[in-house]
Amino acid sequence: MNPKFNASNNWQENGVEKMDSLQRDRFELLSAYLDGEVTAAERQQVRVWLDTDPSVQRQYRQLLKLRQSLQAMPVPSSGQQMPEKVLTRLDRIRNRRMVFWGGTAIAALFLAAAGSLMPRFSSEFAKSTTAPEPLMIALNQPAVKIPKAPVSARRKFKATPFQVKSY
Amino acid sequence: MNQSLPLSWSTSETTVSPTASIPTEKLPNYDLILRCQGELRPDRVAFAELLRRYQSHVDKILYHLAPDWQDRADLAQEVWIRVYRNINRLQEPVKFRGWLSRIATNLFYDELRKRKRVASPLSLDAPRMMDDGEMDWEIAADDTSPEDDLARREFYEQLRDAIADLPEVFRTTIVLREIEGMAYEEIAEITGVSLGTVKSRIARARQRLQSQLQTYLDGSL
Repeated sequence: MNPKFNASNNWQENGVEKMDSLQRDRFELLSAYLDGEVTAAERQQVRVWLDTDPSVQRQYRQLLKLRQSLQAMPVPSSGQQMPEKVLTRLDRIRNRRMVFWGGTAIAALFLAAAGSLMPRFSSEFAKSTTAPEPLMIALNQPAVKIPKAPVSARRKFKATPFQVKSY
Repeated sequence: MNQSLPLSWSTSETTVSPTASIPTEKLPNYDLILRCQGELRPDRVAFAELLRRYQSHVDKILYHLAPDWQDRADLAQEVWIRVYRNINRLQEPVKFRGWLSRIATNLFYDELRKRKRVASPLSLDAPRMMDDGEMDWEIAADDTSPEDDLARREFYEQLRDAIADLPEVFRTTIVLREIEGMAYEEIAEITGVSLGTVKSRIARARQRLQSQLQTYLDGSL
């Protein structure tokens, strides 16, 4: 059994009434009333409860005190040096940015200078990169010229004496 | 053809503010914010003064939203860095406090999302599921006994523990309402739930805090 289901026992041990759905709805309305988040009719209803029901009056007083306590509760400070720390951090961020952009500018200048020293290279490089052609292979022609086989050369060689002979 | 427009390098000659001669620390909040907005980047002295005045407000929001985070001071610094960068965008200086709260809250949620992504979803117990979120209704088994002369500090310690023990969605909702003073609609927008859920969560959080602190809340503290 999940221990959470024993919560109601603890609830009653602590002197807290277990709320049924009607009480929960009432509490929700009272809570919204405290925040000014109710309709005119709901406001009227809560006021009637507050005028007539001591338990609602008690709950309301407790809620007001809870609100007051939440707002007045002391909170640990992030320290007196906070303004200096923030400004120092902002300076550091700004310096880092300046270094980054300075470095980028220097790199851009360097590239520009290098490009101007090699105009031919750069223009050829640009040409080769700016005019991409799709690769096309003709199926009826070899992509690479195939050298003739030695057999045909021999045949040619044989023919020559024959021709000489015929002269 | 040479036309030229008369330009003044100094804008202070043309727009002299009546508060320009007042020392920063004596400026009312509204004028202090205006001084921070006066230039491209906020004036450092004015910004430091603004930070000093509203530092406790940011600390309070972050403390209640994230009571168990050890690095809240870093988060607070981040809030002020965002303020420094964006204060020129603030249209109505009278709404600075709400604007600041919103920055702190948004930053908290950004951070929460990051941490949830990293954290393992390990849970040692199965909290009871409600239609408006998870809520463990078990009362913490502490051994406090009601004492009429309970010191205020002790009460605040109890309150602090009770807030920290609230499940996250309930804690953030009640903090947005009670500490930041947001309307239900605004809370619904920030937390991404319906108005009815906001209403229910606030009531349940109060109910739980009230039940845990009842003896103190009935007293004269």
